[in-house]
Amino acid sequence: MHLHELTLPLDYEYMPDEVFPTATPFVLAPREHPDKGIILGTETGTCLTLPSQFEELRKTMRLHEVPPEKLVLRETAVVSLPKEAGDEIAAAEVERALGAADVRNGDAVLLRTGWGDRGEQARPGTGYLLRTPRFSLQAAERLAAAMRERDSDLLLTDLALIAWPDKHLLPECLSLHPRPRPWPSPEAAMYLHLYSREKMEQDFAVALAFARAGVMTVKRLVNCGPIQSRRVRIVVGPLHLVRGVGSTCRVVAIEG
Amino acid sequence: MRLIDLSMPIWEGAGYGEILAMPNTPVRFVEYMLYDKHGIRLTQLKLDDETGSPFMTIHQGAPYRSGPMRPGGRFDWKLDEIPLERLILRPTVVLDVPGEDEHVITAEEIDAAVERADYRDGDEVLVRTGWGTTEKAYELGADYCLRSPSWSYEACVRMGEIMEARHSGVVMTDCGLIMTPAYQGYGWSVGAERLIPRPKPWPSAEARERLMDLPPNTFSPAPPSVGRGGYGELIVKTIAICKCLVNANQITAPRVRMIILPLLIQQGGASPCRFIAVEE
Repeated sequence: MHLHELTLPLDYEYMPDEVFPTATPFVLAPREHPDKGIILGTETGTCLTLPSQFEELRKTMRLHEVPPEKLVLRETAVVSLPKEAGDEIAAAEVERALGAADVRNGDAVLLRTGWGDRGEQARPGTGYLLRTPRFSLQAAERLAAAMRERDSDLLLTDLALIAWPDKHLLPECLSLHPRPRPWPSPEAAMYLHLYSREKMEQDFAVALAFARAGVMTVKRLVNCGPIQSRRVRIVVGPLHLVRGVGSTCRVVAIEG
Repeated sequence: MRLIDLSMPIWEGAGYGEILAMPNTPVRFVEYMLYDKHGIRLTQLKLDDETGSPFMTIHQGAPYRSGPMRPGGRFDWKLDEIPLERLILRPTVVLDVPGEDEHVITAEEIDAAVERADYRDGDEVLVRTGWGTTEKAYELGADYCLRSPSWSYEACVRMGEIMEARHSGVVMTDCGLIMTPAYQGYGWSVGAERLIPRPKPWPSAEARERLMDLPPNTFSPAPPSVGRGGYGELIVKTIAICKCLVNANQITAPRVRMIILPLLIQQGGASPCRFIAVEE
């Protein structure tokens, strides 16, 4: 049995995911600080997101209701789809990658592009998040449909983002210099005050495609490259949040 | 194969975060993207490193303390230094020490449980009272940890000795607290000297005053007649102490394999954790 740590460490000095106003910083405060303990967001680090994150699916399963069998020792097909920085994943590429993989009914799917193997997440700046390979909407819809056909409801990936928010968040926030800090900075709070449901649906279209197919997603895996087998058992450990819709999580792959 | 989730849920206002001055601060959620306004929900969470069912190493408080909380520990690992092999599918013995409300586990009870169990060299240890359940945690609220069974000083010392002799690393228990509520809550939430009304935990003004009055290197201002603690004596013998597990009463086998998933905090010392028992 070989164990692989696929989790992006929570670093109190620097987290590469604190770019958009929709993020919130990871804080590990000292014992005698007023914030003693841990502050983090729904999508801090390697994180699990449920379809119920979206209002239209809010009546679906929450974190405390996810049966352990969905996340623990789950049979998982490794789907390799190598991509370079900034690449978009096309529907035909998803088709080919699925065809080359050994995906069985009920499997979780681990889609690895190599993005989490390059150390980009440890470098300062926005590169890890903003140069990540990304799904086209057609590719996401194709993968979501294929997963639904196979009764597969868990997608894990080393992409830094599931949705690529190029309609509003990217052009509107990143054109500001200096770049505003994430929520709860005043700039982020003001931006989110004006961020409508319609803007969200455009920015999060890819994430919505998976959610509407009933697929839970885990993003920001690292070090998937050393996995040798086409199939592993996966362990995903989110915080046990009552009525939560997503959480940072620990992810381990078991090979052999 | 059967999977049993032994992890205490986390929710705003959870009782375990309300009854001590400093060690376990309240759980708070702030919703900043909203279903009704944004069509999506995003939450900021304020947790303690003892929230839920915590995994607490001898480096609790790291990276902000200069070294382990006690010298001479058998293990010197922070959260990100623990080999995965010590966390995933770990052979674990279930030690039964049945206890009702406010029971204090003795050294003799630990010895008797070890005698009855199929405890093998290198096992991790789950000390089960059968008391802790999710339903009880929801119903009892802030009283949950105050009514839970807990460990005497002597039980902590004895368990540590046994774990060292048997090459065990992780001790888990379904007690809400390790050290007794009478000891930890003395002058705060338990006993005749408790504060009425009970103050909020750290960073309240009362919690700050308590910290000012606390004798150095102690967990409590309690006099010796109330108890002696024992956490420090146990932590030096372990990789981690894990408390406040729930639903261990659902385990039917004398031995399980445990999947233990603390947060991967760089140079961190303690965190909320998921505990899954795998019963063959």
